[in-house]
Amino acid sequence: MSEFAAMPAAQIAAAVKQRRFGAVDVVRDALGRIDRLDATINSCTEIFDETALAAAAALDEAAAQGRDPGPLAGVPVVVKNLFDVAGAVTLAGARLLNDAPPAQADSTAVQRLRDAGAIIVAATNMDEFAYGFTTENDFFGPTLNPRDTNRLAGGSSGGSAAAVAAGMAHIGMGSDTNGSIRVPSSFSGVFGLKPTFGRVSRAGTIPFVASLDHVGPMARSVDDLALAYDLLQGPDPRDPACSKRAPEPVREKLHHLDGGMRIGVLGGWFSRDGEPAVLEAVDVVGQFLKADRGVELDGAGIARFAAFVITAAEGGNLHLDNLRERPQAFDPATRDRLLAGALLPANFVIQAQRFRRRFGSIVREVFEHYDVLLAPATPCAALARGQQTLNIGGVEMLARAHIGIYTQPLSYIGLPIITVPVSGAGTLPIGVQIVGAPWMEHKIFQVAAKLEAAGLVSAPIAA
Amino acid sequence: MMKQPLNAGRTFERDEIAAYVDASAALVGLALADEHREGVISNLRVILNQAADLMTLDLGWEDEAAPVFEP
Repeated sequence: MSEFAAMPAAQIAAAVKQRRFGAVDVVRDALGRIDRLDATINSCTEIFDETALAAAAALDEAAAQGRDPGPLAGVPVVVKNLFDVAGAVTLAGARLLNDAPPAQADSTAVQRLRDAGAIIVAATNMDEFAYGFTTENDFFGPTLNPRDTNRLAGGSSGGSAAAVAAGMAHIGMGSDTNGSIRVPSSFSGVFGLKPTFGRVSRAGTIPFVASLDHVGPMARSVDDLALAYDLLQGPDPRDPACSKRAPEPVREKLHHLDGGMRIGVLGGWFSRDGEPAVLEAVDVVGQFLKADRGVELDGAGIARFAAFVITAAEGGNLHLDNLRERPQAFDPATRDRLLAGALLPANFVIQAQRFRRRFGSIVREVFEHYDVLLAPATPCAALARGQQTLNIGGVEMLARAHIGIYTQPLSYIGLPIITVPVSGAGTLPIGVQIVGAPWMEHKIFQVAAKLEAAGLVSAPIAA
Repeated sequence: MMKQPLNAGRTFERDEIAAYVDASAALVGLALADEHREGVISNLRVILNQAADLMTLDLGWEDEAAPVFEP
């Protein structure tokens, strides 16, 4: 087991600052893990070994001269390959972008992490244009789950989730339109944050569905997740959806959970159509937190399909030029859905956006009675490679179409959510969504920290 | 929240979706290859049938579309 991979990110940064070891040592170790493990897992699509080592050497030099190398000094980070990394081609998992020119500048998220001393060691695999929940990419191949390589990592940010689970990086950046941070966090057993819509800038990322896209971090501990999140927050005129709110740091408040937190477990839509182990995981967390059971979000099923409509329509429109000119260059798993989306009647799409406001009001009323809500992240643990169907309560259903049932209604209205990994002895991890009211990230972080401290949720290094 | 749906109990059949796909693809300038056409019809049919409940919602004047343009 690598000494550095097991160390908290803040501890690495402090040690690099104090010159107890070098950022170069940490980055070499991370690159070594990628080299050893990724031939099997296939989480990385480009490894930035030279620029990573050069950046690490520059940090060590800064520390030697007495300058502060930053709160993430030397911490290895991977980013889904839809984030611009200056000098690298931003692929969004798409063969048809393979010949695109390299990015001229970093995405805002990458820039903020680098400014804090983080080292970007690799770009990671994803479903093409983020349209999927499995990271079975036709061009780059599937990303396998480091906790069981006969299974998939989940998607669409599966490469980042798998790399973090395998200890190749401390932080993995992902994007989440309908569940693409929360699903792979559940399947690969890591902590994943989808912040409130508009909280973290998406500037310099290839969009999927502008009105639903979020970006956020994944990590193996709540503290690492909070550290990254606090550095990512803040206004950005380059992203029209990014809020003008000042950063509201959570890390300093992580362990300030008061006894008055009102917590509910979502029932109805969120308690149906999941495997027993999934519902049991939510139950265990709910009981520990003394949560009320059976809280209803009226309209959750319709919300899910409305998100589905908006996704297809905006995605289809975004890629219309390439769908017209180079349809053969798309991943077959993505192409027909985008083509269908490009043809959706406008009434369906506008109705879906109008219900978004209505459903937001319904959920706001529920948050007058609760601070935090709990729900499963996925209806099953990681899918086996080649698995096509799920059998839930004797009913056979198409697995890929079913994976997002619990995540989609909640991202539709932009709620902040942390997926926490629950695992029993010898079993695959299952993610539980800790859902907050808009802009109340600190509350979901406090609940996640309490569960982690009690040992109910954890993300040990997988390999 | 629901009103009596205009198309109560109705689902879109394959052939009417196929006719719509052919007409609308031409309008937006998509020349669908034969090997993609069936997949598009099937995907659009799934989306529209799953959205049936959405289209029966009784939304009011106040239920404006969610994206807000800030000049």
